[in-house]
Amino acid sequence: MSSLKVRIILITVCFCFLLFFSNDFGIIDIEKTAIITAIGIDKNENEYEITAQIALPEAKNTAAKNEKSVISYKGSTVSSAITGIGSVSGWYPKLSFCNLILIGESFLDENVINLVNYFTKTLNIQDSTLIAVTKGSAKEILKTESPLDDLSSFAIQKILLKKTGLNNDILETDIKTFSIGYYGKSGYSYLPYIKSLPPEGESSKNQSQNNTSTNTGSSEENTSPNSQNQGQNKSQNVFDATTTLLFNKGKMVETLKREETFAVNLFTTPVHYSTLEVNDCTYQGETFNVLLDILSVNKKITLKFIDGKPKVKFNLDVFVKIDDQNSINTDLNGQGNSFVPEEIAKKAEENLTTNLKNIVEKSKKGVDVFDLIKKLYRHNYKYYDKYKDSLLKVATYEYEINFHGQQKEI
Amino acid sequence: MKLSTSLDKNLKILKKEFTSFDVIFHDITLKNGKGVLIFIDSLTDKMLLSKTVLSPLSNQSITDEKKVEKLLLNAELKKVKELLEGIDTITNGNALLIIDGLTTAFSVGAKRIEKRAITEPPTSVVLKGPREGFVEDITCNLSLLRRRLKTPKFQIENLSIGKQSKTTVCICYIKGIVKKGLPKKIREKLKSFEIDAILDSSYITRLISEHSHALFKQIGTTEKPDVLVSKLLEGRLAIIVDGSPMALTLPYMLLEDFQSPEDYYTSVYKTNFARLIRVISVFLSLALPSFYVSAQLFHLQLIPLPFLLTIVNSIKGIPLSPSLEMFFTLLIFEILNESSLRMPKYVGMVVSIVGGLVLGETAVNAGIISAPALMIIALSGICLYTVPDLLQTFSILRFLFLVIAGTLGGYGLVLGLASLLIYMVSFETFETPLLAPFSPLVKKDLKDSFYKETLISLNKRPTVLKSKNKTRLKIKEKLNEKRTDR
Amino acid sequence: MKKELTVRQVCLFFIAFMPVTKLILMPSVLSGFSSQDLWIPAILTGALDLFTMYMILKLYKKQGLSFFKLLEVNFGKVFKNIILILYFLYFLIKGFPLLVEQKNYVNLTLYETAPTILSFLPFFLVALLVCITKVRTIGRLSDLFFLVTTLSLILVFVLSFSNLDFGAILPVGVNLKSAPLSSYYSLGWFGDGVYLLFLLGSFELGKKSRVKIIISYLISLLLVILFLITFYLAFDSIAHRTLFAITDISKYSTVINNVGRVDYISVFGLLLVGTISLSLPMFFQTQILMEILPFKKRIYPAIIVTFLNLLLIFILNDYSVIIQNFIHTYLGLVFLVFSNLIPILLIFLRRKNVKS
Repeated sequence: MSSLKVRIILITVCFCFLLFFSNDFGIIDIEKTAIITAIGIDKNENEYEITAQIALPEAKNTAAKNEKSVISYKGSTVSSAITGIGSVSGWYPKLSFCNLILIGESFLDENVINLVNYFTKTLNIQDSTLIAVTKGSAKEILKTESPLDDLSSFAIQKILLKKTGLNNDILETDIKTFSIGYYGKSGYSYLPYIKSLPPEGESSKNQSQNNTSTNTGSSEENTSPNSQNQGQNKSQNVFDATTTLLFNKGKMVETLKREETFAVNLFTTPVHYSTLEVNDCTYQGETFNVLLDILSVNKKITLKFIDGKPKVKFNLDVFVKIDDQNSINTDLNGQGNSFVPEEIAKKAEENLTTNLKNIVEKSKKGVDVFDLIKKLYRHNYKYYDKYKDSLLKVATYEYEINFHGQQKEI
Repeated sequence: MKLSTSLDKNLKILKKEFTSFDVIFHDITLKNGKGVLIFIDSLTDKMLLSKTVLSPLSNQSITDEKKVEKLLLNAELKKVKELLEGIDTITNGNALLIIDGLTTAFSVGAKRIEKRAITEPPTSVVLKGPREGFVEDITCNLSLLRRRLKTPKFQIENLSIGKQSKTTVCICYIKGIVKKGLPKKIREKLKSFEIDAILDSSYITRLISEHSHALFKQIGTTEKPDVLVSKLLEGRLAIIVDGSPMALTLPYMLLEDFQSPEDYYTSVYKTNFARLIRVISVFLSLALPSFYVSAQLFHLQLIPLPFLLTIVNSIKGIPLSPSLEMFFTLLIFEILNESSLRMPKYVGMVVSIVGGLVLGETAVNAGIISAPALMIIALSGICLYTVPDLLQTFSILRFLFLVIAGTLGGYGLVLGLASLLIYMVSFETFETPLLAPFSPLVKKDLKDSFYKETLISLNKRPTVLKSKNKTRLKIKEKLNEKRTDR
Repeated sequence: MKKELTVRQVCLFFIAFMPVTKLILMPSVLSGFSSQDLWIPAILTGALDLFTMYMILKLYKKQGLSFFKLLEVNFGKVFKNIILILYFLYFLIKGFPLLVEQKNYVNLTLYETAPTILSFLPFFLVALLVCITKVRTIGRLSDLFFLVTTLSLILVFVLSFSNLDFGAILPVGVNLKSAPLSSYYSLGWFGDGVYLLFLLGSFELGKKSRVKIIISYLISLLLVILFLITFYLAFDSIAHRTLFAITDISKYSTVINNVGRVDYISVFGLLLVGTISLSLPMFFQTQILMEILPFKKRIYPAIIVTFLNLLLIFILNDYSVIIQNFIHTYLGLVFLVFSNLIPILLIFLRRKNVKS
C-alpha cells in the first residue's frame, strides 16, 4: 500500500476520531431533552398558551410529581410557544413522542384547522397523534390526576384508544384523519370532547355536573361506565370522551351525544365485544332495562340514484345476546343468554333508528357524518357536480335496522 | 559439492558444518575399513538405527554400494551423492552413512519426532462428527487425509520453503476436481519467495495473498481433517505446513465461516436454524452497539417510549456521553478478551471474575457506565463468538461502525454499510468473489449457503469454484425407483 | 472476451435501483396534479421509458456495440465527445434534484438537531467509492440489493395495509386531462433507459434476454405504481401535502405502538439502496470523463465528478429547492431528449464494420 494511501487513511481515521470524541455537532444530550407526551393548546389574551406534559422517569412512579412535569408557555404562534418551552425549562422539546394534542374549548369559536395545520406541516410530530377538544382549559385537564395512570395524557390516551371490550362510544381521531376530513370533498371532520369528571360524590369547580340517570336517549350528558369510580382518591378524576364535536371546514357545527357516537361507530368502524344499553323494555307486562352484548354486525350504507334522485339506505343487522337485565321474569331468566325476545330487539331497533335520524338531521347542517359525499364522488361521479353541495339535504333516507338473538329454547 | 572417497575428507567438512553437541558422529568399524553414521540425537530413533544399520554392518566387508543396499534393512534408504544433500538429510532427522572408499553415502530414514496426540481442536468443537484435529507433524496430518481420501487422484506436492527452516509445505488437491491452473499458480507463487523461515501456516497466507492490506481473510483455515477433505472435494486446494496444525484452503468465500462441520452431520432443520442464528448474531454484533448509540444521540424516535424512559433513568448521572461510554465499554471488553487469551490458566478464572463482576456490576453501581450499555456490549460480544472465524475482522468493524454512529448517526451507518458492501462485493481472491454465491448470484450454489438442503440435493459441486468435474452425487436408477415406490 | 455483466444482473439492476429514487417526493408531486389518478402519469412516463429500452435493446442486437463505440463509429471522435459532454451535463442536471431530495429527506426526517451539511457530506465519499469501481461491481451490487428493495417495499405494503382506505383511488380516470402534464413533470424522476444505453457493451444479449430486461423494468415500474397507489390510499386528500412518503406511509400500524418504529427497517433499507442509486449519474459521468479525457486511472475523474457534484450541492444549498422546482418544471424537454429521444433515434444508424 502506497505511503500516500496510508497517510490518507490515517488522517481520515484521526479526523473521524476527533469528531467522535469531541461530539460537537450541536447534538442535544438525551438528559437535556424534554420528552413531550402531550400538548394542550389554550387561548390566552389572543396568544396561544401551550402546555406540555413531559415524561419524567420519576413521575411514572410518584403521582405527586405529576404536576411538576407540566410546563406552560405563551406565544403568538403555536410554534413560538413550543420553542418557548425550551427556553423556560432549559430542555429541548422533543415532539416525536407526543401522542396527544388537546385543544381548549376557547378555540371552538374559530377555525380549528389553524392549529392543526402546524402539526401537519412540521415533521417533528407524528401525524398519528391523537387530537381532541377539552371542556374548559386543556392546561387544567393535563394537570388533572387520574387513577388510570400517573400521567393524565396517558390516562386520556387509554380511554381514546380502547379498542377491545367496553362500549365503542368514543370516536377517536388523529391529526391525519382530521386533516383528510378537512381537505376532503365534504370538509367534514370530528373531534372527541373530553371532560374531566370527579368520582361519584365528589365535586370540583372544573367538573361538569354529573347526571346519574342511566336512561339513554333522554339525558344530555351521561356518566360512562369508565367514570364510575368508587372509593378513589379525592383529587383524582376520570375522563369522559363520549361526546363528539362535528366540524365543517374546521368550524364546529354540531355535537353527538354518547348514543349517537355509538350509532356512528356501528356504521363506520369495526365493533367487537361491545355492549348496548336498552332501557324501558317491556316484556310480558314487565318494564326493565337490558344490557345487550353485540356479537356481530353486518352494516351497509348505500347511496343510490333512482330517477336521478339520491336515496340513502342504512342497513344494519346486529346479532346480540343478553348480557344482563334487571328483570325478575322467570321466562327470561330461565332461558340462555342467547335468547333475545322480539320486544327487546324491537326496542333496541327503535332507539337506534331514532339516534340515526337525529344524526341525519344534524348532518344536514353540513357535516357529512356517514361520508355520503365521499360515496357520491367515488361511486356516483356523474351526479357529483349536481349534488355535492346539496346531497345531505336533498337525499331521502331509509332505515333497515335489525337486532336479533337466537331463537327461544323449548 | 560431490562426496569424496576419503572418509576423513568428508568428515572434516561435515564436522565444520555441524558443531552442535547433539550432532553425533558414530564411528563404524568394518572388516575392511571404517565408516561413520551421522545423526542428530534429538531427531533420530537410535534403536532403529541399531537394528537396521549398525547390526547388519558389524563384521562386514563393504566393497561397493550394492552390498550396503543388500545389508541395510531400511525402507527409506536413499543414495546421496552430494554433500549438501547429505547435510539436508541430517537436518531432516535422518541419519547419513558414509563408508570410506565409496563416493556414495546413504540416507537412512530414522526420524523420531516428538509430537502431541491427535485431539479435538479447541477452535472447532462439535457435538456430532469426527473429533480428530491436525497436529504439528505434517506426516501425521497427511496420514489423516490419506485415510479419508483413498484415491490415487489425491495429489500431494511437496515443497521446501525457508532458507533456514527448510519447512516442508505440501500442496494438496484432487486431480480432476480442482480448478485448472490453480495448483500451478500456487506452486509458482510459493517458489517465488526466499524467506528465512516458515514457522506457521499464517506465513504462507501472507506470502500468497493477492491483497496485502485486505480487511477480510483471503484464505480459509481449518484444523479438522474431515472439513479439509470436504473442501477438497468441493474443488478447493489445501496447503499444509509442517509445524502448524492450521491447514489452509483456497479459494475462500465468506460463506465458509458460517458453515460449521456439524451442519453436515445433523438434521437439516437444526442446521438451517443454526445458520440463521449465526447470520443474525453476526449482524447483531455489528449493529447493536452502533444502533444503540445512534438512536440515543440522533434518532430518539426509533426507541419505544417505555424503553426510552428506562434508558433515561439508567443513564442519569453517567459522566460520559453515550458514544464515549459505549466506546470505552467496548474497549474494556476487548482488553478482557485479549488478556484472557494470554494469561495462565490458573489466573484466568480470577481475572474473569474481576472482569465480570468488578468491572461490570461495580461500574454500573458506581454510575460510571449504564446497565443497557453493558448489556449491549455483552450481547454483541457473545453474538460474535457464534462465528469465531470472523472475530478478527468484525471486532475492528464494530469499532469503526461505533465511531460512525457516534459521529454521523443512522445515515452514517447506512453509508458505512454501503461502503462495506461495495468493498466486499468487489473483493476477489484467486478469481473467486468473496460474497459468492450471493454476489454474483449463483442460484445453484445457494442450496448450501445461509440455508442448507438435504445431502441428496447437494449433488453438484459449487459452480463458483469452477471445478472440472461438477457432479459429486449420483443416484442409481434402481435405488431411485425403490425410493419413489415408498 | 468475457463481459462484465450478465443479463440477470442487468435485469436486477432495474429492479433494485430504479424504484428507489421515485419514492420520496414524486408521489406527493403527482398527487398534487392528478389526485387519485397519480398512477396514470407514472404509467405514461414508464411506458415511454419501456419503449425507449425496447429500442435500445433492438439497437444493441443490431449493432452489438457500446454507446461510446457506436458514436465514434458513426459520427467520429469529435462529435462523439460533444455528445458525451452534453450527456455529462445531462447527468449533472438529472442527479442534482435527486441529491437535493435525498439531502432534505435525510436532514428533515432523520436529524433534528445535527448540522445539516455534515450529515449528508459523507454521502459523497460513498459516491466516490462507487465511481471508482467498475461496472462489474454495480452488477454485483444489484444481485444483493434487489432483495433489499423488494423486501423493504413489501414491508411497507404490509405495515400500511391495515390503514388503507381502498375506496380513495376512486373514481378512476376523472383527472385524465392533467395526466400528460403530470407525466411531463415526472420526467426528471424517470428516464431510466439512459442507464441501459450506457451499459451497452457490458453484457451479452442471449436468448430471450431482451424480454427478460423488459420484464424486469416492468416489475420495477409495477413496484412504483403499487407504491403510488398505496400512498394515495393511505393519505387520500392530504397526499399532496405529505412529503417524504416512505417515512409516513406505514407508521399507522398497531405494531408501531407496541414494538417501536419497525417501519424504519424499510426506510433504512431503501436509503441503503438509494446511496447507490443516487451515485449512478456520477458513475456514468466518470465513464464519460474516462472516455473523452486521457485519464489512466479511474480515481482522478471520479474525484473530479464527486467534487463537482458536492460543490453544486453546497454552493446552491440555499437555492436548491428553487432549482429543483425549475428543473422539474422547465427542463422536462431536456430529459425527454436525452433519456428518450436520442436513444430511440439511434436505431436509425446503419450497421458498420468495426475493427476489433
